[in-house]
Amino acid sequence: MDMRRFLKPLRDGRGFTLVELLLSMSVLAIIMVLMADVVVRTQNTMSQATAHVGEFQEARAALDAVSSSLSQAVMDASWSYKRNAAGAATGYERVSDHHFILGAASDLVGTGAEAGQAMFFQAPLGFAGSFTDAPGSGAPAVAGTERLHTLVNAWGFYVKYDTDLTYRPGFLKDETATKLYPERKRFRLMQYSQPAEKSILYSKTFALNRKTAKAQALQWYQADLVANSRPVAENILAMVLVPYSANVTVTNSGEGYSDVKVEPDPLYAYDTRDFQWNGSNAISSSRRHQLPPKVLVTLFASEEKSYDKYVANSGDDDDAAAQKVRDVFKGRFAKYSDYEKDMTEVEKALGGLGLHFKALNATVTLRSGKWITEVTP
Amino acid sequence: MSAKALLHRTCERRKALRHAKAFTLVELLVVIAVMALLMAMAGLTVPASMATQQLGGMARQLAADLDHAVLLAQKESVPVEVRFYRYPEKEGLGGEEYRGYQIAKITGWASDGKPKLQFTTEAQKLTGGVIMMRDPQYSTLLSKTPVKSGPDDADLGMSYEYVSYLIRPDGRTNLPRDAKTVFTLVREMPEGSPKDLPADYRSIVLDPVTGAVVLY
Repeated sequence: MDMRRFLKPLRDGRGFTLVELLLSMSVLAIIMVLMADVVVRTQNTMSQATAHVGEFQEARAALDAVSSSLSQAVMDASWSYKRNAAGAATGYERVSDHHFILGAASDLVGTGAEAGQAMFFQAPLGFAGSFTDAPGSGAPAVAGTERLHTLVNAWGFYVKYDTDLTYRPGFLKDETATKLYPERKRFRLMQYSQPAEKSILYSKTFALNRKTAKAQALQWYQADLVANSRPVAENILAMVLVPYSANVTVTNSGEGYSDVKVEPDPLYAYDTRDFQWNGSNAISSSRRHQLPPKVLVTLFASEEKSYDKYVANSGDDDDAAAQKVRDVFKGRFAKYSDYEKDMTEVEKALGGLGLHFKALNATVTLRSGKWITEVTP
Repeated sequence: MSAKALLHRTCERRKALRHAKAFTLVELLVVIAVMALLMAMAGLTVPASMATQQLGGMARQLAADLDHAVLLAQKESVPVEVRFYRYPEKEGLGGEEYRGYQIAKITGWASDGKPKLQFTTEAQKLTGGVIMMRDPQYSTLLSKTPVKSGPDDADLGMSYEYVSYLIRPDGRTNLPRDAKTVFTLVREMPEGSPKDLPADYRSIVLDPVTGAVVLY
């Protein structure tokens, strides 16, 4: 185009018309909008990249917490006389005052249980110092109770779906705060951490060793499960636990040895006191007061940003969104023979919900776990 | 000049102006008004949203670092100390407020009972006038009596005070177990930390037993 045509009117002493001016302004505006768009995109990419680094950090920390306390689980079993009904010693049997139980959360947690497994056990974690409200004691918390390193505690992990309002301090719960930061109903990995002085495990009146009803026996953690549970991580959709056990493959009772193979439990369950409620059988007597050698822990973790978006896409209905997640896990991880299939199906279904997630796993070796099986005692 | 002639001249000038097609005052005013309106609209929202962004960014960073501190304690199986620094801003723009933090591994204990620290990073500074809300209701750790320190350590280059908490290798902290622990970040006011909770704030809730961090 001929530039002179545009410059000519100016030379004539004429200015721009309003239309010309508005046109140039709008062109400028469009350019600025485009530039702003580029800047915003770059920023988004940057923040995504930064977020990627810290992604699932919370879930990874949670997996570490599970691993570290589970690996310390203790049974403190010893051999004692086996007595007949008349009280006469007839042999030896393993005894313990502890209990390791791993199984479907619906069996162990009761109401509000989510998909997958839960586990409860004892470990020397040295958690104490709540004397203020301990039964029979009005004494204040003692500072020295923080250093009881080998003090045994009842401990456990399970997944719970609930509101975060419970865990918020007062000022984050009022009306203006909940408008700014709406209630978050999420799946959380919960840690049951019972202060030692609250334990009824060794109580004579409780008498765990004489219990024959599982429901009663589990009271050692169920009685104060809610009171002593705390969230470890948010957006843990499910926890899948595969306990391994040392199974006898070859027995030579004449020579007094047996060959064992460490295998995953076919039903995702391990109970060291199963003989008390289901009687002695090959499995229950091989697990009697013996910890599993290892447990495969898998956490299905999502990210808050992604889960928040997912809830928004589900019509802002937390509960409906959660139900869809539950449906994904429904009937899954019940039989180990289907493990691979369940894994693929669950990953496919969660991806189908548009959730950004990761299945984090770790094989936890229990230091006092059992790797051998004695020939029938 | 007669009145008639004057009128004629004025008319002539008007005609000439119309032919020249330059701006009239009204046209110019319209343009300026439109521009002013646009600028005002942009100007009103940009700094506020930038500040909110910055506050959010700082809070996310702090939350991630507190998460990292727990992970560090677990991974390396050492106690980890998290310190929050209170110091005035160097240029004299801000008063003595909690505007920095640092994470340290505890590698041992000196004969006087003090921990031997190994800082994993340099002191992280909250920039852009972001500080921790001073009222212990909103930043519970600040109810602790601060320790005076500096100017040689923590590379802040000045004397400072700090409050801290410990994370044990299992993720447990030495924070009071039954109270809820929260850190609230706000923007600094001319008088320092705002007295009441401002409309714009970010809070980080920390579980004292599991070390779990939740950002609001």
